[in-house]
Amino acid sequence: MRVSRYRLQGARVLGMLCLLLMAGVSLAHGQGKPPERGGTIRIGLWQEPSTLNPYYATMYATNLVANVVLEGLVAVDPAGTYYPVLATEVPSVANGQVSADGRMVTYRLRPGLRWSDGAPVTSADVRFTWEALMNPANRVVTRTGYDLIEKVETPDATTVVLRFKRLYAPHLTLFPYVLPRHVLGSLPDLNQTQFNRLPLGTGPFRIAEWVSGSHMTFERNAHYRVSGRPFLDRLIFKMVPSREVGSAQIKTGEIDVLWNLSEYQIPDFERLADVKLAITSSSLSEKLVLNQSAGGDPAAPHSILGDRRVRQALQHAINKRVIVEKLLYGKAKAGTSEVPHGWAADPSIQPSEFNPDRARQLLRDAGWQDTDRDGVLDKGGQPLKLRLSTTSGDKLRELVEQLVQEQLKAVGVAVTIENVLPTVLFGSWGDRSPRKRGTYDIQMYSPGPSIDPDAYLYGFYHSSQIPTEANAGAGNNTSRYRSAEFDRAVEEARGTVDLDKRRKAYIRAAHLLNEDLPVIILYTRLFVDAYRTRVGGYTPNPWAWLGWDAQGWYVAQ
Amino acid sequence: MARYALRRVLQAMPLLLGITLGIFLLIRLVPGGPLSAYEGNPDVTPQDLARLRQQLGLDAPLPVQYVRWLGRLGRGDLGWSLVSHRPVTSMIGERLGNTAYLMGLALVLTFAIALPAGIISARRQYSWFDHAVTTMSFAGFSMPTFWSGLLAILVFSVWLRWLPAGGMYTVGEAFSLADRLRHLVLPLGILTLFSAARYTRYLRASMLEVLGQDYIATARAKGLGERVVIQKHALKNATIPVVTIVALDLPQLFSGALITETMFSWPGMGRLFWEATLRLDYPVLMAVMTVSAALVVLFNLAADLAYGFLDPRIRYR
Repeated sequence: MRVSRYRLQGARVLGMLCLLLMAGVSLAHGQGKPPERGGTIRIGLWQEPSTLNPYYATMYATNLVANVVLEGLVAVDPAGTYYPVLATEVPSVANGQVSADGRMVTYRLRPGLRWSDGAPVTSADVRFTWEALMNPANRVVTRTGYDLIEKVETPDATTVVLRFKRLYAPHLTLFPYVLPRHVLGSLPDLNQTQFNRLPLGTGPFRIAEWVSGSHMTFERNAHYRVSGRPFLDRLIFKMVPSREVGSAQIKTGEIDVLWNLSEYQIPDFERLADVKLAITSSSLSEKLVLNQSAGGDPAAPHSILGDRRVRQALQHAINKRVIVEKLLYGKAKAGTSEVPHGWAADPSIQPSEFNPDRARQLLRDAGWQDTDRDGVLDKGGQPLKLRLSTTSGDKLRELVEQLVQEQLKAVGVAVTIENVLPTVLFGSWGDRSPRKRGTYDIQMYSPGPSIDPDAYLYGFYHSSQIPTEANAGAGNNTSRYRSAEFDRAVEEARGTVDLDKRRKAYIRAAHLLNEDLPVIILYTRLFVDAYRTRVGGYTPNPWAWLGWDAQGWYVAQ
Repeated sequence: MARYALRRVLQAMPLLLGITLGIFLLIRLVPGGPLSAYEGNPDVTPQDLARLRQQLGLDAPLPVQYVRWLGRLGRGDLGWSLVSHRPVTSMIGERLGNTAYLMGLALVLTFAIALPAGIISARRQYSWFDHAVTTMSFAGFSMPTFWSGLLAILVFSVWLRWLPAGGMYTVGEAFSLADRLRHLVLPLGILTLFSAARYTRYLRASMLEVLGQDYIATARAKGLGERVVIQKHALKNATIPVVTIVALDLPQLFSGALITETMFSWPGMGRLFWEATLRLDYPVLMAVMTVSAALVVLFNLAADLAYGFLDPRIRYR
């Protein structure tokens, strides 16, 4: 455990350095004198949150805004390490706050915490948050993890004991937001409470108004636990209908911060003197999911992609670096692993080798030849033709598709592009979505693990997670990947709370995916936010949302 | 006339019912649904999805869902958003004023420009004024708003920095009429440019046709002044086809201008509809489309009644 913590510290320092270099953000900015209090910062959002109750949505925008009002027990810093927020310490076996079997987790709240209306924060609030999540009437999006809690004990006002029915390895990801019992405790359900639009929390700001379609205004929380913070008087989230309109508005100074630009907008912004970009590498990778089954039946291999040599050939034929250099201006990283960053990553994994000759050889070995001399390989009368689809209307993805198409053509693989709306691509089993039903060849999108890779790796690659008629299309293993060895690795990782053991298991799992290739990881997506130079004190954090450190933002002089 | 109007309203009922059924089926034919956003999210389990479907009533058979919706509509309840869980009426209420404000002003301004421009250019066909109006209106008509709007933002907001690029007012500042007007200029200008160009064309064509009629010659032969000929005899008849078009445009006071509102960050109905479309928020989509359809029917009836006023030869029984 000590070794692992030491390593995490190292990773943290390295990560911070990388971030600084990549972001080109000057943290030294205004370091000479303490920032002055006061001022307003306007943040442009091109997606309006549907609600500000983060348990009622999975949207980024909801979390991003709720983040400045509501806080959790612990959170994750830019290097991917947990730090305490409302709690005094991050529970671990080493500090005695996690039992050896992992079924009892103890949190100690900081003393003297207050909600923004002045009411005290107590352990009862944490218990209420759990009760709200489990209330059958509440339309919360997910209960994953919370449903494994048997009871939440509150021996005193600042101690919370979570008693799990069985071990839940990613337990630190629970309770990212604590809800106020004194406001919500008497309601039968939380579906239509005013709180969902005007939440009350412990964060640095409190919401003053939300004008639909226009903006949300936040004011300083006078009861914030850090004295002297936040520096800003007000934080305004302004809705902009699209990234393009937002880009126009940050250039004119109508907004100071623009959340989540697309990678293709980077060069346009780098020319500006009064706007700086904060770029971080996310854990989401743009990837090609390869369907290994014929029509979704995992027992019947795909006539082309069912052969591992073909999947390897495709990976060798794709020049990931060219995609990064041509389309991402060299800012992104070529794809390495399904867990590219954070505590569970193996930083030594290199991107796959671009080697068209090796690709051709592998295809020959698999029996594919161009017998009819039409430039497309064939086998037994079947041409090597694959359909590729992604979400329509995404300029960058369309360009990537065209490059992939071109590169695969060079080794004799024909690719036809068939893009569909996001709601179609991510349709359900009942909607007969090709993704769920397994009736596609290759799909391109960018899911990825959160700070704890458990849900992602298990849900997307464990053999029990293949959608079928029998399980009504549950699960996200849409590649129909089946590997007993991989299954063992992710099961082992979810079977312990020992972070070091878990990390080793995840590294094994990531290597197995790179060998078996249910997926070709093209590049790691970037988080790109833009800030006018008058904004000071921010740090980009790929594990959190813009505004996670808004208590330290100030207006630069 | 009152009986005629009543009969038409009653006749419209089955039509509207058919329209709601059509819209309902069309929306449900779109693949995906309000829960698509959670599919593929590793934290959202199949159990979660099944629970949400049941909580939101999406697990019921389609006919049941339609009848439930209709039943609520009968009680004046437009339902709840499946995404924000808020009443649809209050979501519409927040946006309706903003849309009516923008679209209403655009309509007034459109007529203030199109009426004189159309009449004068028809009256003085082939004069320099007519040529200028024709050229301008063709230009305005040919430029789609998504193009002219972006161009206007680029020129007036980004390059010249004269006008804000979007929104109804500068957020976070006290109310100021000047600020409101500055935000109004671009979206209003773009909307007006487009529709004024259209109306000028219609009015000019319609006026030209009427001015060639025998009764105009008769009126002039009676020795009536040009002013009376134009205002009393020509204009009234020339507006009949235009009234039809106005009737079709008026529901936009409710439904808004999707493209213009989106481009200029206008918090109106058009954007509400667009956002609901992205998430397939069924109740919001149903509400906006049903009310729009009802308004189209209503304004068509109003147009028919107006014909009777404009042309005494038209009588309703």
